[in-house]
Amino acid sequence: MSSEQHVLSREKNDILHPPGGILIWILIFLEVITFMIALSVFAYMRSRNAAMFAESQAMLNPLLGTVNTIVLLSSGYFMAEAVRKLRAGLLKLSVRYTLVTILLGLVFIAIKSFEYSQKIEHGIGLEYNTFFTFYWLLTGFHLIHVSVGIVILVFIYFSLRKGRYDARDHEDVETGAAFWHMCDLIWMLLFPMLYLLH
Amino acid sequence: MKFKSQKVAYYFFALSMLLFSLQIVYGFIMAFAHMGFDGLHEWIPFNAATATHKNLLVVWILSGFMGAGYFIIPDESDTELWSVPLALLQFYSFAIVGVIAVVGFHVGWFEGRKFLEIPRPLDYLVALNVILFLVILLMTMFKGKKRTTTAWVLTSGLVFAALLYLPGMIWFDNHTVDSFFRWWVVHLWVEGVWELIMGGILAYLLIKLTGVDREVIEKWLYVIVGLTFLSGILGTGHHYYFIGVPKYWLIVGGIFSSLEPLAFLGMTLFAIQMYRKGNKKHPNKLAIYWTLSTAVVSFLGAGLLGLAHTLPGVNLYTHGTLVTAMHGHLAFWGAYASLVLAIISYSMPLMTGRKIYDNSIGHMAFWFANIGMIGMTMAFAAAGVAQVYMERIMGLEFMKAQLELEPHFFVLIIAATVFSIGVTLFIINFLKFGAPVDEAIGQGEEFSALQTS
Repeated sequence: MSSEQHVLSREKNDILHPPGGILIWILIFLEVITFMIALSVFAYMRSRNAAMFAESQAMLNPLLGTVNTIVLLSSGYFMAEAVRKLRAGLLKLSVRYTLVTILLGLVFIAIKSFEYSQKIEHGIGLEYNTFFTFYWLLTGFHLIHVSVGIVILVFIYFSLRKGRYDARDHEDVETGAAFWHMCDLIWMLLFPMLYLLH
Repeated sequence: MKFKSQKVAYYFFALSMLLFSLQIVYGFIMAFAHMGFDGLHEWIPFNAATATHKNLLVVWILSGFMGAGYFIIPDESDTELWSVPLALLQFYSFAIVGVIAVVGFHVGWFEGRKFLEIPRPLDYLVALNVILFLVILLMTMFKGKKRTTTAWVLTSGLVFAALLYLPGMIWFDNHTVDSFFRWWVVHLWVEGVWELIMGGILAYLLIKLTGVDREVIEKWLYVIVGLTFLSGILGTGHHYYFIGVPKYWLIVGGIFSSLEPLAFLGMTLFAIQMYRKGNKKHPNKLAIYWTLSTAVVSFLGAGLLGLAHTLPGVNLYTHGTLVTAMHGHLAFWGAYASLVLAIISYSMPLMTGRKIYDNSIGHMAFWFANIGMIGMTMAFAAAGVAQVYMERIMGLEFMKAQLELEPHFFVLIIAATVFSIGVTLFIINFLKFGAPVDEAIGQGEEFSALQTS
């Protein structure tokens, strides 16, 4: 394959060359599988202890959860915009949108920390009951991913500012964005399961 | 062989083979004891035999890894070993500590903690020894002109393995806390950092044997190894079931350990894919067999048979029964024993210049050993399931259940005999090579496959 053809096949974004590179998609696939397994176990446990799970769910703060969902989804929108602007060659806008994404990510962490502190104040820890074991493990692992995502985005933000990426060469930005969208996606699985569904 | 100092590997491989043979002898002693023929009980009681069997396993595999390190690192770094006399000193001290430990088990000098029976004073000697080994490898790498990914992965695996030996040396009064950290050594070795060592050695072998581009092999293999490694860290939780730690470990251990087979499957498919992609002209057929069997059997033994009893609901019944022995035997054989045999098969012709790499003894060794081990695994599986049923479901006393299990050990001994014939044939081949010679330096070309572009 000549190098020109190689570039063409990359631009076509076939199954082996998705945006951001195939490695990040393998990672996303495995992450989603892992959370799905955990959620399936959660659903199974709930079916055996419906009353206790409903009671525990009532102790969660759906308002904070909803606000956080909106915050995270908007951050996903801004990251998608950051990539789109970069592809269009609008570097400055791309830098700005990336910064907004990072800030919204930090807001998510702040709200989540507040929620955690309330739970701890009420003595609801990891071992309070099965529902809260899952609550802490699922949201905790998700929060770790959000934090890692922010570190990646900060790295991308500074690289963007240094002008390391342009309209043609920006695979790293796509990779980081894909990781960030994965955090969105997983939250969209966790939020209804933990806060809403009875 | 490119460098004279690579010959040091031979000593470690020879020690490996010696300790492997001894390990098998102790395995037979225990199998016969299980059948009721415990004539050696006065001299080698069961607890001494089991401690010796398990510790010899760890030591011979470590010896194999060290040999692999001394063979691979000079080649990858393109330089002589930093210091051959120090490497020899490291070898002899390693062997002496090993002998003292094994003799100690027979006179009651051991700590009594499963898998970490070696007494504390010897622990310090082991630590010193491993530090010396790592210093030699790292100095060689820094001295060399090239620093390949493979060399880095292999070395970092060895460094982490050494670091993870330390949690096993901390004293805890609480049995549960002690167990918690004890598994850091045992589990985080076999399902964690040893994976890096395995990845490094497998990558080296696949690059040399298939001729596929280094870039392709290194990139993908390390992604796969990384996944195994990551799932293995939290997968350690499956050793924390029902030992007194918080209940959430049931969830964490169950989920992450059940992901481990996926990564092993990836490794299997990848190795086979590389073999198919590469040219098939490499003359060292035995090394190719052992390399591919490592990839395949580790998936079966470590991946699938591990999955078989990793879920808390299953493990509630199988914890600490022969079902564990079923998984342990095929996992160690597939992942680590076969790997050491693969690097020995690959390196011995290069070190000695003797072309014993496609002979019938070698092929028979391969098939006998693998078929024998699969037979042993099936015997353990049948015995384990029967044990679970009798002990955990019918509530039969432990010793009464053991009596009922005796026939299974007859089957085990037959399979183990087939296995031992295979290993003996492998060792005969090993002895036929003789010691490495300087004349073999620089004669590597005729042993290597043409590179594919």
